[in-house]
Amino acid sequence: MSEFRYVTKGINRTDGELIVTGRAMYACDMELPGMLVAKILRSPYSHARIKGINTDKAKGLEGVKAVISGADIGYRRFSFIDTPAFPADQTPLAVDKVRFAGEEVAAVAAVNEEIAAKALDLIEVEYEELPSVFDPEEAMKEGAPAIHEIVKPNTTTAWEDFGVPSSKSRPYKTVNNISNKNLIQYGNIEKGFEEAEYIREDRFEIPSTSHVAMEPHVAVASFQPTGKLDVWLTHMGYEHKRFWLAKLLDIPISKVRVHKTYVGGAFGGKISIFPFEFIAAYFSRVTLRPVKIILPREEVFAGCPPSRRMIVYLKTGVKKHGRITAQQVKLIDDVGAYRRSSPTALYLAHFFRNPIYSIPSIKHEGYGVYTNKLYTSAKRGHSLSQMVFAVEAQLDMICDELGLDKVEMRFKNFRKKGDTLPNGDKLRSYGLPECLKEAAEKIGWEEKYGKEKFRGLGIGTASMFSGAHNFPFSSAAMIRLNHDGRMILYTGQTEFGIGVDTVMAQIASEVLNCPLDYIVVNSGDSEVSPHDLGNWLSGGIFVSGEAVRRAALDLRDQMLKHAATGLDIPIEDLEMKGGWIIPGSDKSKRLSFSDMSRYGIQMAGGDPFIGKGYVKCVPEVHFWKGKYNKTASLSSGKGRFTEAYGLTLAIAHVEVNPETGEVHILEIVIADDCGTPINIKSVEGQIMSQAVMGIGDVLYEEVRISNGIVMNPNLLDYRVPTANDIPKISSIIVDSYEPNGPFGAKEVGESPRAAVISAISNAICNAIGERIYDLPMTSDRIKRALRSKST
Amino acid sequence: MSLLPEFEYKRPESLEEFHHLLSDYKGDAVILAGGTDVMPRIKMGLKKLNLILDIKALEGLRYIKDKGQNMRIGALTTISEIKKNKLIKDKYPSLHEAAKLTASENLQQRGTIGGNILQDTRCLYYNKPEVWRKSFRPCFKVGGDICNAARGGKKCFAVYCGDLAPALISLGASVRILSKKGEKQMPLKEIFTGDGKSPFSLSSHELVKDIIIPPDKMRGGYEKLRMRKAIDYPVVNIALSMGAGDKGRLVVGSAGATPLIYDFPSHDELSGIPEKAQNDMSPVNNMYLPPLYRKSMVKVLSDKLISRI
Repeated sequence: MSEFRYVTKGINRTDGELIVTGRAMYACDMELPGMLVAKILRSPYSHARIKGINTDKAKGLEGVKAVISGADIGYRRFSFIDTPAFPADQTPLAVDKVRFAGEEVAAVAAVNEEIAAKALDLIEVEYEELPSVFDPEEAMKEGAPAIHEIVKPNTTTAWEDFGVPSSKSRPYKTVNNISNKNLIQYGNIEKGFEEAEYIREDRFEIPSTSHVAMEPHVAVASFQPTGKLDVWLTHMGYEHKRFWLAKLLDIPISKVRVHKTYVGGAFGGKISIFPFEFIAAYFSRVTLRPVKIILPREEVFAGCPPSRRMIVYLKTGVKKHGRITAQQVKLIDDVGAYRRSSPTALYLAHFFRNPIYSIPSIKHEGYGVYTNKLYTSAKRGHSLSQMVFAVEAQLDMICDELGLDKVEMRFKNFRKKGDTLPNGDKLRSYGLPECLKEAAEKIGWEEKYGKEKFRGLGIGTASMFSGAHNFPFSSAAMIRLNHDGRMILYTGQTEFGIGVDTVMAQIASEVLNCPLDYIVVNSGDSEVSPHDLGNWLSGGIFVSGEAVRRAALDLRDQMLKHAATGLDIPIEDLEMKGGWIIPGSDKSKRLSFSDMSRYGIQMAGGDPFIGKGYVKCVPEVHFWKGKYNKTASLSSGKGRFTEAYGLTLAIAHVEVNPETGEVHILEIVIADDCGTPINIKSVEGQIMSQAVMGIGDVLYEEVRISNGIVMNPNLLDYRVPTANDIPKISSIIVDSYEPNGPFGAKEVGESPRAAVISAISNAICNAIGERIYDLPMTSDRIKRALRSKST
Repeated sequence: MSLLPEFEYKRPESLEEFHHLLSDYKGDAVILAGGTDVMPRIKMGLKKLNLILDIKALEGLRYIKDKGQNMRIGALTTISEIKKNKLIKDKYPSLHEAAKLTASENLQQRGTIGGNILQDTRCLYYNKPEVWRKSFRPCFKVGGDICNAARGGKKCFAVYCGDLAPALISLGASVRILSKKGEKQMPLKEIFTGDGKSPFSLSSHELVKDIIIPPDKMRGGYEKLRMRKAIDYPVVNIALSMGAGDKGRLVVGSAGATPLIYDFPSHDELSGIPEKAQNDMSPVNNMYLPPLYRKSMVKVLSDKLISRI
């Protein structure tokens, strides 16, 4: 790493001063002249027919500018996944019936929040309550209440608009509340289990947890009389937002501008479109005034999708010495009222685990099931943590049963560098075995394991893609030289707390060998930046960072070429250094970047020197016509998925109080193979933050739903770890160098959370000598497990 | 968080002004000190009001006085001040420990002893915004006729979750109460009604002036089980204080609408109390953790406390 000047260094955030002085502009800070405030009326029922809505009284209240309900909006459908096979099933406001308590029913725009709140109380809704079903396994049975019947697409689906060729979208007829399913198989599952000498079958259940971003969800929309829509949002990438706003409002995508905002945390919870964002835009169009919606925390908890609730039936066969021969998974994804990302999640639940263990035969079948509960979606490590929790728990149980060493057993089953996965993905870099070796050493596994009463050790593994084929399938970047020799870098990356502006500047500085402050980053503005994957799919560095690197290379090449011509010196003799172009043969002839700008204008016909770079997430996958169409299938798992996998191994050391069931985490060690860390401080921040999230996932967090109602929609009853609850956390960075990534970098932002969840939960079960199959492992559950052990 | 309703706001600077404002007022008045308990309830629509009487500017309600006789703690004394007081730490360890474990540092600096004692009872179905409660029928505590936590229940089971009151009761503390009619003093334990719906016997025109703790130095302590190491209300909390001859009192908090109180004449009698207290507690499913677990922790915590004192 020593040859790098900017990359790998723990450089402070270039926008740090802006944020700590309160000058960074978040969507909730946005104020526009004449701005209205909107509020949303939500259903108190988990399943009910809407017989009528009377908005007259609300409209009559002074200060109210518009009131809308589902009848005004109609069936404008949207979803996270909108394919011909799985057409979008959600509308911004309920039209015929409500399917979960908290669903949007009507909305008011008024001159201030107080009047909007008063007007909500004046809206009269007549409901006819319908029978609800909350348990997904009940919902799948014949005769369960039908939540959706037939979903009729009334436009093309998003996937078709994105370029996926298909026969026309067809109506989706829901049978037994099954929203979607998948089946991924390879090897020979029967044979695999025949060869096994020990087989275990278990059932695990994982609840939803919320993202708890510091900034609540906000939308500010300003529709211009010219037909243009300006929006300021809390988001993770503008492409999905502007696509859906354009589609739902039926305006050209180029007329939607998502402005740059700082975003106060997302964690996977702010991707794709939300009803309130459409509502703000719609109100702005009908009132021709700017409209702002800030969701109260309760509405974020009870109205916006948390992580996926999953039931995992897991069957694993092993040889007596620990080699896994076969694994069968039946996954029930309790999607709630709307499908959202379930087809993706069922697919990812398999694919995120594929690079970890080499298992000859796999059968992975998944069902997304509608229930009358808050719908669910992606959270940091989308469905990875749910599957890993089950798989790693069962591996520990197998080791306990067979008397196998838990570290050795995992070494025995890891994949190897250079492996090709069954779908064709290649492991060009693979540091997982080294992660385990280093983490086990650091925590003192051999000295401590099995030797301490009511203390335990647990291992968790995880892997994560580095960008994948979802809209817009690739990222691009531009970099423009200015008269003063400094450059403006345009990237569509979104700053939601991850330090992306800083690391992109580091990448460009490294290529152009110029001081960091020569790079002015202009990020996250959909009208200025080229298309970009956004900050999800864990492709920020690997895909968008590589686009930035290539844009910088392009600019460097242009400048060197012109410098060679201008100086009449061979290009091979020129070196870029410290913001200069220096001829090796005669250093006195050096040119500054500022000189190059003037040269471009005066001597090269006015050339502005704009570098561009672009990268496709998975070059081999094409959504195009005829024979060029080479896609990948979410339902069968066929086709390429990603170009590189980040990998994590976590080990936790915990102590349990046998009297109270309280858990005291002594230490967490996380070894992460993220390739080259572009900014070591950012990487450590990513790892630490996921350890903290994982602690919450194991010990406290659950969006608790009772009879369809979210029982803990506030930060007192929904507990995230406090500073006092954070133990010693160490991170080890295992740099495996990913040949396809910028300077060898790959994913780091999602994988550690899942590994930490498994590590802590396995450590708890190790400490008490009893298995707990559900999360969170609250003290009462631990106490119950201890009691069942003693009786 | 929901919006605040409209209300009048007054900030009296003397007790005379305070009584005058309160007795002349025809609507619903709410007394505001630190606000850490009452403000969220107002925002959630749990407290209907027309007037807020902010007593933070009242002279002479913020003190810790000990002249060798009873200790007197003014109602506006913050929890942080109690925590840091060396005399309290020395003489009344149960109170010191309870203050230390109350909420979090920032809430301790804001919250007062008077407000902490008079915090309302809590329930998973009650401490929620008005729009959330629309999914349920009105319960006893909001003037309805059912209990949402214990279906078929005939009364309100909301739980008193205060940290300081169990410790103060274990110390035999009294409260001095001011009203327009004058001043009265009563044992702290007697302000509890035992009714989750309206847990205190104080009328709306009465104000706690100070808390009086008997002079004898006590041995004792406070145990609190909570989910996280800060902020959270107790799952169960136990206070124990004993004086000469090991005569003393053990108090169980978060057990119901009122703390459970057990006097013992000597150490020998103490040993049977944890089990009795556990049997006496009959919680319903109205807190975050299940009732049986909460109940089973009474003995665990009491034993732990007794063994360390």
